[in-house]
Amino acid sequence: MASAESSHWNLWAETLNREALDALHMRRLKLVLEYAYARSAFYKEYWQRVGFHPDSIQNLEDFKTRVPLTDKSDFLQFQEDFPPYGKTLAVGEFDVAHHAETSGSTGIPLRIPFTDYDTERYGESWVYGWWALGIRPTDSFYFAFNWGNYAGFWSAYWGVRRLGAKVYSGGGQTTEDHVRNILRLKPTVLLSTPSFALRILEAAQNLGIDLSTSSIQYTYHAGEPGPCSLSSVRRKLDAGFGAISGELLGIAEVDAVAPGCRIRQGVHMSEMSNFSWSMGADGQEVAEGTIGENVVTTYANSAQPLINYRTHDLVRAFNLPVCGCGCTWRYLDGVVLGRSDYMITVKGTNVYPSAVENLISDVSGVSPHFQLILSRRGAFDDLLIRFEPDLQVPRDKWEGVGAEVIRRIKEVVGVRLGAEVAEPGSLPRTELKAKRIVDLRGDEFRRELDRQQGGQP
Amino acid sequence: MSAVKAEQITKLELLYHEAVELRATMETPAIARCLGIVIENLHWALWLQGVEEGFVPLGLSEPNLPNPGTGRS
Repeated sequence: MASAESSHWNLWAETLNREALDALHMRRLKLVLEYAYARSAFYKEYWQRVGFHPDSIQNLEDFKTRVPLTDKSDFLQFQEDFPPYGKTLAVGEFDVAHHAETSGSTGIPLRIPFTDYDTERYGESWVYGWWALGIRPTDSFYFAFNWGNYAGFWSAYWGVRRLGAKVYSGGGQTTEDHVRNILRLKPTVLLSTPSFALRILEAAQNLGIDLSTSSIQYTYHAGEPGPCSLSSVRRKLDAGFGAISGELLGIAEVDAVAPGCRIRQGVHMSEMSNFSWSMGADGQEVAEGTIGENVVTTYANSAQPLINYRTHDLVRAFNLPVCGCGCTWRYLDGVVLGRSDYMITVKGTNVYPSAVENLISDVSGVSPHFQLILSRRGAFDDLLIRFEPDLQVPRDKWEGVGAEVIRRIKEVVGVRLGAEVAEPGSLPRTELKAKRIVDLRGDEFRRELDRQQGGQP
Repeated sequence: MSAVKAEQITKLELLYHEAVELRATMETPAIARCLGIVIENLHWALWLQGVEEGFVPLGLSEPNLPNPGTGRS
């Protein structure tokens, strides 16, 4: 009998040992390879061109080393040449049930086709994280989200339907309306980007409303670093809503790839829907616990299969999880630590802005509202940190907070960066992803790691 | 695998194939769509227990070829 008391959404799947998971992946990866070869003109032509055939894969090592890598740029190019999806579509247009797009935060939006079945599988990945946190079918979800083409929270909607819980749509509302709707509708779960949840808290404060006594028992976030990535964000959300906050790592075109661990120091790859491994800058797999790029093959997109797909997310992954929560799925400690395609060199030191972002958020007195301004100074990249101090920090202490930010980054990253204090409330707030990284450099100074590696077509 | 789970899986597999066969004979779009959803859910139920039959449910259309077999309209 199904029970809300069950410790896991799918106990069998979430506690399989590594040997069993790998055996399952091996069988499924062969299915995906055969499927893509038979149905996707993109994969067939690409693989034939580089001399690869799915029959040559006998084990996971073969898969990681022989299956050509793919990248978002491949798909973007085909979509531009043959709109809307190019040769990457593996089903008839008839079976494309939902069209979404990436947020375009790193360039042109990517078009993402989903079959009806894909949406069901995509939604499922959210549920593991919700269930682990304590969310059940009796809960009700308030979506502080405008229902555009952005895939992220559409997939959360599919997840809520999958869980069997209630949906409250917050589309087309002002921030203040969200506050009033929470009080009026009494949802138990708030879904939004972390920065927008913080903005809702600010709006409530301005209205003289304390949301820590509202009906919200859980807040859940995606789209940017949240409670499992940044401890300061976790503390503020938990305290502000009087609730438990959680985070999911999603990659719009792939899946809700990694729902949050209940310990909230990282996330677990959703292994019923994805296979992943970590790649070093040399294209080889890195050792357990070593930072590398997360390379993902999804089982959740049959309309546009993504195989050995470079996410450019730098992760510290453990195939044998170290979090202690009991879930055996691959664990990403700290979620995403940086971007392989967004490394800059400041004063001769390689710096990942996302890693700096993580460090800043942990400095006491820094609010979640800050920006990293990238510019070019002579032959070198430069990075300036502009931050709003926490409201409770008195003005005469702001300089000290800035000095601590500089000291902390120098200590960990090894380079002295500039820091500038901004007036509270002066930096831009958004409903979707907070635009924390502002790149003022010309395109010619933006580096991408080893784009030519791995047999790109 | 326990005897109970083995029996559950056998029944799910039977339901899946019965639903696929039934949909192939169904002329009413509304009913074909109901069966399409059932087939997807049964395929997923098997996948979530590691005993799936293929990567996708039977009846998915080929690229650039119309296929009313899935019941979508």
